[in-house]
Amino acid sequence: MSNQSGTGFVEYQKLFAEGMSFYAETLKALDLESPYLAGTGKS
Amino acid sequence: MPATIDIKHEILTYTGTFEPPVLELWGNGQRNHACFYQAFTPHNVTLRDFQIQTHTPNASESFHTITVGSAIVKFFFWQHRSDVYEPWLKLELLGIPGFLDASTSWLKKEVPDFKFGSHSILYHQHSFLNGTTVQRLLATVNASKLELPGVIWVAERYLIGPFLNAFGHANHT
Repeated sequence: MSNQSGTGFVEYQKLFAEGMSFYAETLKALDLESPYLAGTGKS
Repeated sequence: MPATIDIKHEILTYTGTFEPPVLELWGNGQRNHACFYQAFTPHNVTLRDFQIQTHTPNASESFHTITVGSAIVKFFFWQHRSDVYEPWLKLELLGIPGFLDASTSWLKKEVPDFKFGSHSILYHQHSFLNGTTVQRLLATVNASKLELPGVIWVAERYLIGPFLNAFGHANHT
């Protein structure tokens, strides 16, 4: 994750996108549906 | 037919730790309030949503507590913490990164040498499972890793009575 100018700021959008992908992968492997994946393009 | 998760309780907690603490903000209550108000105006905050601590017993206590929708933001001299509850998680999940960005980006302007030491996001879900067994769920682990450098992701699941408890924890230092 990019560290903006050494200030420790991170791109929350990227962190969340990565977390959602992980969540979607986990649910897919389990053949589970979650209310969160609708509309995120990860269902 | 896929099984479904019936979520009964959930919380997402973000903590960003400052290194070093932002003691420059001590005594700047009026300016700090203005910054927070400006940051959270897009989220429809009102003045009633701001709890003002006129006396802070020591430097480790929170000095601002703000209710933003169904989120509670606590600001310490050493840490920013946001607890996001339902229904915000369901209604505005994709807006949470922007909310976190707004709640922290003003620090760049107010504290010239500001620096984050670490970031942590913890998601906890307490659910029923419909259409599958918890044994099957607990036996399956997602072994993939996040690709973002510096981020450690931990996922845990366990049972309390009939409830499935699931944690996802991303830590960045």
